Amino acid sequence: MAKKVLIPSLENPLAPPEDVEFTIPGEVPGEKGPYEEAMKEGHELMERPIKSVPVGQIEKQHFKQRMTVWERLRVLTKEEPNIYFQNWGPNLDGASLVTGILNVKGRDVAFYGHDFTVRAGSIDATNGRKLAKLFNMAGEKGIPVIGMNDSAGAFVPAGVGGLDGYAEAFTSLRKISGVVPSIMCMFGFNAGGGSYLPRQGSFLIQPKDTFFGLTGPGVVKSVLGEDISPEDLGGPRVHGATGVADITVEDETSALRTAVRLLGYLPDNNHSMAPALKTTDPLERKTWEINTLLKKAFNSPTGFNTPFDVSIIIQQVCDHGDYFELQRTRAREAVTAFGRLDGNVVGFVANNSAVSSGQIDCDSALKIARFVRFCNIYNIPLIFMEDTTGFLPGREQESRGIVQAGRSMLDSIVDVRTPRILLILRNAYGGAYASYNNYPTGADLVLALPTTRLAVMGPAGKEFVYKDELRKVRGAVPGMVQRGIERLVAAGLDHIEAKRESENQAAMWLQQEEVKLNTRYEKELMNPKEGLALGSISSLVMPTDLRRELGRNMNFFLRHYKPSAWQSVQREFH
Amino acid sequence: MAKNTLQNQNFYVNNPLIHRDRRLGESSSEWVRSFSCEDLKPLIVCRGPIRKEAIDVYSEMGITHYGILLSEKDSIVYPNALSPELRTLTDNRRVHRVPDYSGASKEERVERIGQIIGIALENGYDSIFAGYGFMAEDDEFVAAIEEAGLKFIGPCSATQRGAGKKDEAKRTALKVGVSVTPGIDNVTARTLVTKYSNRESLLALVKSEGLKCDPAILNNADLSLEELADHILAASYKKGIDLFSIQELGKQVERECAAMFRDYPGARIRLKAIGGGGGKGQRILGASLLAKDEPTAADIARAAAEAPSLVLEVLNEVKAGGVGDNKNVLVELNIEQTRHNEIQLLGNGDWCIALGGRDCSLQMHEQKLLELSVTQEGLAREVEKARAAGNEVVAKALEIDLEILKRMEEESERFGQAAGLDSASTFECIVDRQRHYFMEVNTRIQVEHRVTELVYSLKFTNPEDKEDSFIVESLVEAMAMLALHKERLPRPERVPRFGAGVEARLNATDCSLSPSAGGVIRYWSDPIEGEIRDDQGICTANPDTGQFMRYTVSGAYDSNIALLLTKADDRLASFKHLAEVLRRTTIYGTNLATNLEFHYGLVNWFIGNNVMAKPTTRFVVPYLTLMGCLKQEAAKVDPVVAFLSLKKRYVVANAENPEVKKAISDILDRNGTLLTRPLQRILKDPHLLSGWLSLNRKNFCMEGRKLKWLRNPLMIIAETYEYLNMTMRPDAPASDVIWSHDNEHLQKAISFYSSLREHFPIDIDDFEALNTLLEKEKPQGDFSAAEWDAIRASHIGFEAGNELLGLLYLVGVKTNFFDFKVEKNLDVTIPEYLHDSVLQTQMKKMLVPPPATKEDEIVTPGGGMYYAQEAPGMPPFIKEGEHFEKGQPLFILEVMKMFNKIPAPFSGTVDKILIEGGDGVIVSKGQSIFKVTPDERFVEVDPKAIEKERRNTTEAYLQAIT
Repeated sequence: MAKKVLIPSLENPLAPPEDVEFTIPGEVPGEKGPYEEAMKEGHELMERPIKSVPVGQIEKQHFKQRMTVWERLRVLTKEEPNIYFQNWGPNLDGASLVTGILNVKGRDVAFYGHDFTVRAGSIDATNGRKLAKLFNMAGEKGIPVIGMNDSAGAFVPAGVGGLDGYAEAFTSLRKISGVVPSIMCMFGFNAGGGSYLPRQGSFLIQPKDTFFGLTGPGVVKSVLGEDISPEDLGGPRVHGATGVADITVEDETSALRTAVRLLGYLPDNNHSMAPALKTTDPLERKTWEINTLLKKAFNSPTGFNTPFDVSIIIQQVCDHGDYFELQRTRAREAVTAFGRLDGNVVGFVANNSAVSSGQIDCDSALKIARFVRFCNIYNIPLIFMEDTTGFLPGREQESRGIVQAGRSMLDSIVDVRTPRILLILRNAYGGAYASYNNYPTGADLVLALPTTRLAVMGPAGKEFVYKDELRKVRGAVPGMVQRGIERLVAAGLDHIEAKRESENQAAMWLQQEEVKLNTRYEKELMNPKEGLALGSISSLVMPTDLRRELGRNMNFFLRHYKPSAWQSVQREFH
Repeated sequence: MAKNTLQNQNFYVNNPLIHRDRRLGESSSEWVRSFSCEDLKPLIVCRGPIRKEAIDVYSEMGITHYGILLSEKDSIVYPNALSPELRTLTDNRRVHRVPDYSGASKEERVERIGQIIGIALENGYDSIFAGYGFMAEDDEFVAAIEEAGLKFIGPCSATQRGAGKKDEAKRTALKVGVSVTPGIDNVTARTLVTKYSNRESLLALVKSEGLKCDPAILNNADLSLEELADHILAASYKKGIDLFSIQELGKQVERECAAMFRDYPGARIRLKAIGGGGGKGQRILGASLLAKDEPTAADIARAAAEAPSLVLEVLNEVKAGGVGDNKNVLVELNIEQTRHNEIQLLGNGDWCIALGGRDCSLQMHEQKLLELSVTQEGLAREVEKARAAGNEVVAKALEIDLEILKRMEEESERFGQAAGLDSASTFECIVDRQRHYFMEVNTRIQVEHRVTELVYSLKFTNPEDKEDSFIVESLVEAMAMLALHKERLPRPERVPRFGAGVEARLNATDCSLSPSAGGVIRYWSDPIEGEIRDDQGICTANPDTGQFMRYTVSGAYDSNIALLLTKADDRLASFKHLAEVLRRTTIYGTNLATNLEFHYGLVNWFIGNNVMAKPTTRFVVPYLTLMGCLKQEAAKVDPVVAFLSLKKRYVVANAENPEVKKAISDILDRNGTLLTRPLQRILKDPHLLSGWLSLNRKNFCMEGRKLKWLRNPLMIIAETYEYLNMTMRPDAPASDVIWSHDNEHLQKAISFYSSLREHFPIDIDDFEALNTLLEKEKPQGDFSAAEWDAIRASHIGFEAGNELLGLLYLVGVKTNFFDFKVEKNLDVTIPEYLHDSVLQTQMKKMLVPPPATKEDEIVTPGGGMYYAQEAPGMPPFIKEGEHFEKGQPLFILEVMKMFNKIPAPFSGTVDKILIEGGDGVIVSKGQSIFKVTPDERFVEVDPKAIEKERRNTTEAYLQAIT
């Protein structure tokens, strides 16, 4: 007997039939006329951006362990988004881009997100303008922007239109740069314009299993013959190390939650302060842990030359120890972080001796320059913590342009108009000191720990300070050697042996003498005394009082600071 | 509305299981009010979850003047690790500091004790609580506190000496008829007797050393030489001198071990320093004799020869190696099939009450992992249940446990009274089938004390008025009360609270349970109802922002992050609730590894096997080895490849009818993520797989080489989503839960089958019956032909591809997973091969592959000056031929006067030091310093070959399910 042919189905025949007839929501259905017809059509249009997407497209996105733009929005906020231009584009489907206003923790935030399920979130002839309109509005109203990028690039069938679309978006984003802050999340696989656009924003967050860059591995292979994985070409490890990505995270959810967290430290725009939060952490709290940290480091066998992790100090100073570090996978010899001090958002810029001795190189100089400029523009006060032996010298750095990078840092600090304090932790030498928020560069206040070693030069400075002494001891060496040879020969050694022995002795003596001068230099000059006497340092602070001292001074400066847009002559470089 | 409030309740800060108003001063009864502790002024000298618990309990008792002593070692070396319990305690004056609690040497310890007492006196504290730290069991510390006129919240120094020191405790135990293990508790006395082998020479020693001994004892000629020697030793400790060398002691231990190896062939011996505990100060020797029934004299000599060096190790570990320290080491027979049970005791010096037991057998390397309550009431109920179910074997097995528990509780109370126990302590035993042996007493509160708090509360009744009483639910509260009102407190009555309690220790360990410190916790979901989360305050939100604060798991002391507890009416229910707690615990972090999945797998293993099973302390290592085997096998299966291949098979099978072919192809597309997503998650994590297999073992069987479903796969898919905590939750990020289209599809299918149940009197879970019914072409029930066809078509549609889930079961079959099981008599059978140490090591590497490297050199990360040691005169960091661990400093690189310790990028052994010249030699970036052999050499494998093998294995698996 032939089996009956059944067409497999995913319907439940036992379920009561669904009522598919449209009624105006909330209205008691009555007789239907052309009015109802129009309502129905309108309703369908309103739902189109979501409903028109075939489930297969959504499944494709989900197969890649990625959320749809609508799902991402729900992670940012539980509040219903206010969508603008939802039927944009010839297909009336929003043109693979969702824009609107969100309520994130009570604040208005403009957002956009590519809808990858619609033509792979590509930019076509018109949706670049949709994006531009959103940016313009954000700039006009003075509200921050969150971008959720997940776009395959320009929509090829749209031809040059897609390129113009990008250009339009680039332009308007640049025009609101410095007016309102923006946070860009990188999802999926973005190349070309899809990378430049988000990087125009203030901060860029990249999760794992994503790529962005100039162009993908395929093109790289065909053009350069290079075989490289997307991960190694433009994954978070790559961008996190260069600062192209400010924050790298585990997954999409973390990216979105991090964006919300970061937003908490940012003002709405360039003419208001970042949101202050009343704190229950007393400003008087003693910072004992800083004391312990320094005691352990400086009393260890390597003494005052022991590196330590400066983020512990930032943590102790901040309200309840909470702070938010930026670019933590790049050049960690400098730590840049937002924190709150007595409720006010403060930017911290600290040399971190735990990494590469805290030496400023091209990367750390640019990292600091970028962060300082951001704080400066958005009225965020700054606390600098200095503990560096200087800029990193050498061929590699020079060939990478350390002079220009260091200059960039220096200029960004000179430009600062927001309240700014310098706290010297230990080392502050030469050029690094001179360029690092001291009184002449415009600091409001310079404080120092008793462990401060403020000097023109580090230990090498003894060559200059004790020039005469050194010349004397070095000059004494030949005579010593000669006398030694004579003595040793007299004692019965042959000449060659006597010469070697005598040279050894003299070398050891010289070494001891130099060590003595070293110690003398450290004792006489590597301390805060000269700085205090000259007024380069206002006062010393005890490690246990750091929170109180920094806090009450910052409060004083903030009481006399009015947020405003930064208006000044445009300098040649930034 | 009520439900809503419950949902919004924050069980972290307001948990009815552990939080309540404990102020007795508010009572209407004068007698109850007289036990108020509001005037107590305790200084809390401990870290870990107990510090937070003490803060909470004291506050709830109305105690306002309490302080915290922080150890500077606590949290200084890591950012984001500031003692989180202090977030809500902002009064600086209550926080005090010492460099550490117990010092690094004996002198420092004495100095520290003085400082701690000084801080207490200066700041107006009248008592000290030391939690479960080392100090809590230090009789000298306690004696010093008592002498200073302060109260110690814990057993008095006399009890500490009598019960806390292992040798004394054993003697007390023998005196009051407590069952103990064979062994020697006076090896120091024996050492002395070996050295001075008669009374005369011993007495001469007393004289020559000028020891202050009791003349009555010296003159008592009836005393055995060993007793006399013990007395002389006690005097030598007071004087702070040694009467024999550690070498002499080691030799004596070696002789005793040899004798014991001869008397108990096939057994190992455990050496325990008397001040040890928690796995510290203990060593086991004689592993080579385990399998030998008749060891030769040479075998024995070889095994015993290990003893002297082990003695030195255990003494050093408990810091008892200094001059004048009591160096007694217990030499005990190591019992091989051990279950670790302990009895909670509470006393006031007068009375002593046992509060049931805790089974702590599930441990690894002596670190407890899962702790269960054991009560007479609970066991009696289980016996009854088994008997009612006609399961006599189980009933008998449980009756044995009940008898043992009764004996242990009786003995522990006798012991506690004899030792004058006047606070909380734990009486530890090992249970070997129907016998038990007393091991030691921990004279302090223990980590797992909450397990007991969940099953018994204490009712104190006015002896003059039966109606006048109060209840205490916290042992920490009881200890504080005892410190203040010791003699006045009447013997309480223990009142059963919940039927069963269970605790899982959440540790920062990787998949193979090795410590993994340094990770950052970024987010931790809120506790659910019925969950107790003792996490040292990590989840205390930033009081200003209400946001979770990042926390670095420093692992400075141990790997524990939190204790997770729950309760229920019986053990099965408590395990099920613990499984829910673990399932719903979401922790996100960076470089964070926890044993959360291990616990989840394990708890479900017991639920699937038998929660009343009697695992021994040897359970965990072979279990982990089995997890390694699972992971190895699971890695060979690719669910996506399997799915695509399965789809192809469907399409080919229906090729003749284009309409059917199209329909089935579409249907499988709809099923793609629904099926592959849980498979991917489970196959990736052997612990998840273990739990899943244990729960689902009853749903499958093998018929020849084919897999047979005993239950509707669709229901299993739904349960699997639940098992993975991926059911639809509108408030969760979409990527954490079932995709919305998958959910719609699944719900539709479930409602289809449940509607079907309304029409037919069959068990829908019975897959065979269901299939038989739906295979009938003739309409069944009152359905028309068209309706019946539609129903059958839907059945085909809803079940298409579900067989994919069978891959999981096959991995279990392939690895003989189900041979590791619970027998009818509740013993656990562990397949012999899992004890193989070679396989254990292999599988540990399988679980957590060690970082492999192609390098055979260590090079400088940058330019600077090289130093082999931290400072002149100090030993070099590493020498030729020495082994180094990843992260260990290898040398110093001075860059611009900063001395950077350079950590090893991987583990290995130094073959040759390549750098020439001494300290301060200038090196350039990338210069070779050492020639090394890495522990794990990177082996180049062709990813394409692996891919191919995976494909082939997956295809082979598919044969069994299609």
